Amino acid sequence: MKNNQALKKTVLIVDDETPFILSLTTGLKRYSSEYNILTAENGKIAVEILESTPLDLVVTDLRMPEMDGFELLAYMSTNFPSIPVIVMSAFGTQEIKDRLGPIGTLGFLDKPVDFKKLTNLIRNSLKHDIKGGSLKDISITSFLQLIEMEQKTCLLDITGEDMPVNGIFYFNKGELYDAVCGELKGEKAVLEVIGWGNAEIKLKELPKEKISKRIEANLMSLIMEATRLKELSLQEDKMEGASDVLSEDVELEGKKRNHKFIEKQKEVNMNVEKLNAAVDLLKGDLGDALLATDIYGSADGQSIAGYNTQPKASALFCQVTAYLTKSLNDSGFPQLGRYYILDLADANIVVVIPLGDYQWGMLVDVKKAQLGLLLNVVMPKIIDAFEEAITG
Amino acid sequence: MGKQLERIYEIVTQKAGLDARMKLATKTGISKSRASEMPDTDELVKKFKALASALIGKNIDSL
Repeated sequence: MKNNQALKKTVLIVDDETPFILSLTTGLKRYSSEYNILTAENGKIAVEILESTPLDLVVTDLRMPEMDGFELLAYMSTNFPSIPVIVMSAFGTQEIKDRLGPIGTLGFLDKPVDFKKLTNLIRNSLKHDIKGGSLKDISITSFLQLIEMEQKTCLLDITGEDMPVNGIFYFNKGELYDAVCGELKGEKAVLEVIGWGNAEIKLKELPKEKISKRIEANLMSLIMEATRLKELSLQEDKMEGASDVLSEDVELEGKKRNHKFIEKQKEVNMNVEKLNAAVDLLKGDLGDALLATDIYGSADGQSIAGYNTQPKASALFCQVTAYLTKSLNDSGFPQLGRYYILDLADANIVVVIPLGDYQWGMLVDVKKAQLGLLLNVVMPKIIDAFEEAITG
Repeated sequence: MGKQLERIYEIVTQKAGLDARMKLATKTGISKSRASEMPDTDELVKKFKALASALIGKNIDSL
């Protein structure tokens, strides 16, 4: 019997609605052989219990007086990160629940609470405890989504592991108004902070002065963009890793064979002569049909070579490519292939070929050139020529 | 000469587009046409495969 008692888990339920707490504790009595139930009417009392009693699970409402569920989650993520939490809310959309679902053992429950679902969730969460899931798995994005879902007004202070500056986020009725992180402001600050791992989140006192809205994008699109950037960065890191090994080994081989190889580098060493030769090749093949062409940087849209060059169009098409890439990514479509074509008035077309750090755009009069010839004969030739230019 | 390296270029272009092909060229410093003329040494093939796998996001040997 003593052993059973020692094995029994302890669950803390935090909610300010006394009738709900009473009915819950009465209903859960039948599981008294499996776990003890403790209750608290707000986050402050919950913290006192956390400080004095070993707990195995916390079930909490988000809206409460004194200290609400967000403050409790933030406090627990720092001080009791190994205790799993189930959050109860009347404002969860299916999308939010789906997103919160896989995060550690952070469970989600609709209010009014379905008693059977609650007991199942408690039992599952207690089982997961064995696997070691915990609140430390709660990501910044989940926390932000909870705030949006509950339409909370608050100021968040986010500390990232080994980050020299904190991120400050301001929400007004669940809408992300502004963010600051060092010198970064608004959306740039959000994209930076969302990518942090192992962050500590604190709720700060609201400022007295009014904070105006600086962030126009919605939270979900910012989260998706941050995720995309993180994936890109991981891919770049992976590439750098592979490239480092290649550079070292190939350099040795290169000495033997007198080949010149590029070492680890951020900038591309462009061979200007070969670049101009690539443009000349296009001009030569298309003749009068080529109305204008530019090779421009994907990052800044600045033309580095061209004929009848169009700097404004280069900068704008650089943005079009970025939007197109993001739209394909967001829609779950396959990524952009070799090129895209815009059919313009008067039998003109714009062809844009994304080439990594650069893009090649051209305005072509298709009355004077066959499209098939351009795509199947000329394009492979100029791509090879461009590749020669970037490899020196 | 360079059949394997050329094939790696083709797979990268097919699976991850021209962007990836250009990255492969930039990182290796070897264009596709030059790769086709180079000997397929074990070392080069191994390293090309490592970079290509990172670009595609899958082990190129599994394709």
